[in-house]
Amino acid sequence: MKISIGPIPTNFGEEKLIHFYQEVASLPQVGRVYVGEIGCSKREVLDRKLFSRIRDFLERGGKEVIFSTQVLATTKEDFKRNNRLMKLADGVEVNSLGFLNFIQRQYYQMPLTIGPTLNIYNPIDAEILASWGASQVVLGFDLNFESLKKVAKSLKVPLELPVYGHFPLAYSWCCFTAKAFGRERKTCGFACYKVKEMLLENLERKTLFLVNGTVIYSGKVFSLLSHLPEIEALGIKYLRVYPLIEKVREIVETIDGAISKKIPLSKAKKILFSLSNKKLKSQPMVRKYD
Amino acid sequence: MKKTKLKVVTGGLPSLKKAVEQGVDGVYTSLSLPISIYHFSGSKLSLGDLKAGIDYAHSKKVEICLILDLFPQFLQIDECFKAIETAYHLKMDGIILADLALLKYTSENFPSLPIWLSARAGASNLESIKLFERKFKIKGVILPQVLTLDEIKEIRDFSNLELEVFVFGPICINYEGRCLLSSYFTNISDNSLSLCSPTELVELGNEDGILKMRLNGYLLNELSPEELCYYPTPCRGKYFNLFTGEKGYSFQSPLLLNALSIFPQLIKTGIDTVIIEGRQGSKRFIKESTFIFQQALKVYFDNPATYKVEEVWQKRLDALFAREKFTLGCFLTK
Repeated sequence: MKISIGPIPTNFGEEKLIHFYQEVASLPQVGRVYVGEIGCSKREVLDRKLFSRIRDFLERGGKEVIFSTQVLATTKEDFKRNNRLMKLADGVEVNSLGFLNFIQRQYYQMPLTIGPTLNIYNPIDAEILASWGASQVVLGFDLNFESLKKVAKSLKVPLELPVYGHFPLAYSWCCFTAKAFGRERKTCGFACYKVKEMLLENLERKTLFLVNGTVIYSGKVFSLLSHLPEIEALGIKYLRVYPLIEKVREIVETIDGAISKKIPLSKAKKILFSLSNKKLKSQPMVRKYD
Repeated sequence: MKKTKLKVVTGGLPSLKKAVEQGVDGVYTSLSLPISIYHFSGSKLSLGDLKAGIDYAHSKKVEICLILDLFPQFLQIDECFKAIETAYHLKMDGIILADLALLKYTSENFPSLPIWLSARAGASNLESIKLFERKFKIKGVILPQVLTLDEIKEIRDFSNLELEVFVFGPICINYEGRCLLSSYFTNISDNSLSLCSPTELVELGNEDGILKMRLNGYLLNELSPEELCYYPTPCRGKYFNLFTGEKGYSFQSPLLLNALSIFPQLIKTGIDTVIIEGRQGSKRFIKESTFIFQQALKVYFDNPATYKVEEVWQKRLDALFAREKFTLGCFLTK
């Protein structure tokens, strides 16, 4: 099993993105890197120039560079904007089914990865998407283990499973960062460039969410490392990591250490626990169906 | 001018019958599936009630379609296939689906059963809609609540499918069918239940005059007696924002969608049907909301130029929703 790096939000800014992806490029444990703004269509940080630059040093580091499309695409303009960048990548992660239709009308050779938001919950869903030309499938966050086993058993194309990070839980037409500043999305003034992320707690002060513009992430960091033996038995090709931007090296090295059994699982868990400021959730979102 | 239809999503049999009695063009209803123990028991019909509902609707020449817009996990697939067969054998007028496996099964095995794409399928753009149309021969699309009027128009201009839009009732702030907030709290996939905040895991407790709303033990809100009580979902929770230091509805306050004030602009986009979301509504909710929207359609089509929200509708809305506030969602702007 190799590690893939899921898309990170682009409002961190050019300098941080470059630094982050240079770090990723130097990590031999990483095979695939997903780059793209999956949330807000207004963000203009990741343009052709920056994408090409990031792609170049990632490729020099031996990584496959996949463009991740926007999740909530609504207009022709959204497709045009995503199209400008997807042409530059080694493949596309389709995060709205519309992109599958769009790409197949235009580039017949582009390798397609089905993103985690395309709602695969059973083997038939996965087989349908494979039959429509997917060459890799990323599973979602709330399949139960029974479904996961069946999908893994029946599907012929390589599978990827998200195992670590603040998981994206919801996408909205509304920008919650702008809202926190009393603005609408239309007049957001790019509030998210200044305030990259906001943590939300409930009224009993339990950490629940991490807000980044139009996307709501889990406030806790998921880590499915405890289930590594079960996951290994499924024949998964890539374990997807949504890294904490400042700590990507430590996180990747720890997870890889656990996979290759160079670091005992219990020690790896302890390291990840401290890396996440003790905000770790070590159970999958949905485990079984009662 | 082609008249826009009015359909209602109903919960129990009494509200279904009420909608039919009001003379709406169609009702959407759900069937209780045995394996899914977590569900709103009041908002899905038993097989017996479904049959009674179909007979009643058809006796009044009202279309009745089955909502089956969950994304089944492996163990749920067979019962979903059975539900599709039931809809076919009971001669229902259509089925509302979101999951690819169920779309494929229906279009291959029951091609005469019309399919509407649920908002939960996330077909928020023309490219997605074209793909679903080509692969599964869908008849219509219930558009997700993430589109502005201009975006609806863009889809209308290039699609001949029946386009349906929610105009009244509870509203999602997040992209439907892609929201895992409830799963995150409950460890039960809300997409596989086709609902969020399962009633069995919701607790409403009174502590010193404060109403505490919890989902699977997590506190979602505290309401003082002056505040309006509503059905708690994570997107309508009150949270502390650690950056601003403020406490409030970080995502959305409990608002109801009401498109009456922009009815002319909405209908001019060329949509075929407007829908009232009345799944959790009482008989009175169904009666009043359908009456008002039937009136609104009549007034509009009698003379589009003079349409306005009439005082009598407003009074009836105020009587039913004394304390609720309304929203236009993102129809006008995002």
